[in-house]
Amino acid sequence: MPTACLLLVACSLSAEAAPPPRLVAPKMPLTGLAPAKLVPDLCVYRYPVSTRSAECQAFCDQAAGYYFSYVWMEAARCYETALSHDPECAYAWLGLHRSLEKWGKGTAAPKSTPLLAAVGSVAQRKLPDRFGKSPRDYALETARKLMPKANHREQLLIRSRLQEKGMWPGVKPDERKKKAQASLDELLTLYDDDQEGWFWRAQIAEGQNAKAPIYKALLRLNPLHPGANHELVHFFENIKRPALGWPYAEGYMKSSPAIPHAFHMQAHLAMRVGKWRHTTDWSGKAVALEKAYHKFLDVKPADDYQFRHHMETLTRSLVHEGRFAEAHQIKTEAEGYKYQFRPEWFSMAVTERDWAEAGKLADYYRKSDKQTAAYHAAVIALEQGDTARAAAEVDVLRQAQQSKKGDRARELRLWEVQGRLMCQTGQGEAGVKLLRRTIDKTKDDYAHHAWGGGAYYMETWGVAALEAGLAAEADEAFQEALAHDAGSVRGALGLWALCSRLGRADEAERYMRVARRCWVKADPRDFERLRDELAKKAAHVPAPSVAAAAGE
Amino acid sequence: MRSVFLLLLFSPSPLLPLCAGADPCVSGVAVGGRPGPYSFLVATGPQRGQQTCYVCEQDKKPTAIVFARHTSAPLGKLLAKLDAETAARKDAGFKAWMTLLADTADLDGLAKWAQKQGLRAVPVGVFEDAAGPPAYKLAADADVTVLLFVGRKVVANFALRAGELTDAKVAEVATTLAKLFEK
Repeated sequence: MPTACLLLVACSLSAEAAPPPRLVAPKMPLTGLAPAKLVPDLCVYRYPVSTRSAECQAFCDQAAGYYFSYVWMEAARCYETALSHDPECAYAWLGLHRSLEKWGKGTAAPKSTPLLAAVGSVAQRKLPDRFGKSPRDYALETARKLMPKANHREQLLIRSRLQEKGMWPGVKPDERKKKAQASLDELLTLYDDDQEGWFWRAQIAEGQNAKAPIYKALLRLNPLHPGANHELVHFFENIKRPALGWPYAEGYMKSSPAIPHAFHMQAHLAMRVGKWRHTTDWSGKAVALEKAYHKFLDVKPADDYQFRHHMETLTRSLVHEGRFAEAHQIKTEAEGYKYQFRPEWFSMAVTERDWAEAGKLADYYRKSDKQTAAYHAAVIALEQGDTARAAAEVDVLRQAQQSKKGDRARELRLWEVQGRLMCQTGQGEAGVKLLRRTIDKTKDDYAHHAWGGGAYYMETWGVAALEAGLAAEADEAFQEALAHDAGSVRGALGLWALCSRLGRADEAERYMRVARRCWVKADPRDFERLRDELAKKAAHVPAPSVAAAAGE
Repeated sequence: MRSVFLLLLFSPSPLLPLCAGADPCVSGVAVGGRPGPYSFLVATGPQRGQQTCYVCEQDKKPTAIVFARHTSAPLGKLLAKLDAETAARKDAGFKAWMTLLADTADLDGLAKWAQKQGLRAVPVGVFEDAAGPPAYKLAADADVTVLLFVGRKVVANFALRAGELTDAKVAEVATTLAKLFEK
């Protein structure tokens, strides 16, 4: 059946053949997927293609929406479904080619052996093109053949792609991109309202900042262009100016109201610049939309490459905001999908004082990565105030570090637990000095500040300073934590605890307001537990009267 | 009596500072206090689009911070004055910036406003919490708070309600800047 179907399709798509019959197979031949279904209000993008089939047009629009959100499999599925309604739609073939390429599928030419056995070797020379090409090349070649049936805009778009791929006559290998750019420049000169032209021109623009102005031009044409908005979110994150990407993150969500990735992308920026107010709920919406999509189209989560990343981001966000009940629910679901987000789960277990769970996560590393296991065990011991056990684990880390000098991540971990241990064992000044080194190494590290992690070492420094009774150090550390992450609940509560201890009531109240805002959706019992722990640690700081008597 | 009460109740905003004049506005880190680190979203200058802590960058150098709740023509005049001082005192490491306190940032709108004011070296940006950085203890009724500090200590503090940022006050801030450079 599949072979016969392929033959049918292949014959139908050769340029010389008459218009082919519609595809009816349960699984489509080029993508191997079941046909797409239309999702109402998936994406606002519309681009009229050369077809008289309303269904073909609708699936092309839906395909573009998915493509702009990097949902390559669905884009390919939609384009192939569009072609089942109008096999002569050249632009759908181009879209199918692009989608297959991004999806990473459709690279191998189909095997013709069973067919040859049936038709005999004499017929081999007469086999349609379909059997000599991979689906993605075949799709592009078909787009080329159908160019006479496409409108002028589409012809230029297809020509540009063919030039870029070296499949257009008279294009030398070193001039492919320039020729492709020239075709799109011609398109935009003649039709300056062409959204596809602007988008693809940006895609092949060269130079560090070359793409952004073109996407911005496209947004003047259509402020809710999903592709331009999405790309600009990535762009501004990549050039380390995340705050400039924010309007595009919002535009992207508006453009694609039922596409999960649109609601995920904002987190890339929000968690870097402290925009915590809505980010977790939007990440939650991304995951909810994605689960609905899996159900609607019977897609396995394993086939949805974005899903794991979206789940992980949601987990980080929930843990950061102290929304542990929801984080546990997501954890159960994630385990069902065989996803492991151990660093986030460890952080949650420690904050919840769930030592059994934290220990289990630490033990996981014992066999494969002794240093990581020792680090986690040291953190647990330090949180419990078990300095003897912490010292033993720090020794393991110190010895391991001797043989692995230059591993910065492990070095930071060693300094973190060693510094904190010193603070708990009467060597506060030396301990905070070590912890300051972790700050010096990470405060300007853009990668370290992704996903709301920018304040981690500052919070640890502050907590350790409280444990050592060093008020000025704790003050500076927690203020740094809030400066690097406006959503640092430990920073805010640490300062609340310190100010309360030092009788600075007005400031304490201000920090408490910030802390409550940071964990506004946390279980009040979790918030109170964290607050009380920090207050307990702040008790190590000499009260003002004691400090005055000691001449401090 | 009743008409006086009504007059006060519905008085136009320029009268408000007159009413409040007897009770000076108190806002921001007091003279002698240490300005703590805080970062905000920068709308103009080389750090545009970045969350930046200029306090950390300045460290002990002479600095002027302006916290404002709204943009206005008088605020533009103050910043233009600080802009000129920044150019004149570049060698001394002087830097000034303005942090707008707002719940949500409109960096592009703010950048346009800064351009209209002709600002060159004074960056402006937004702290996305109208209460401001807690350590700065900014008062809710302070429309503009100006802090001048050097050597990590505040040497002058101007807390101004709406309408109090007059030309005379701008001149006073400019005169007081000299304190930052006293040896």
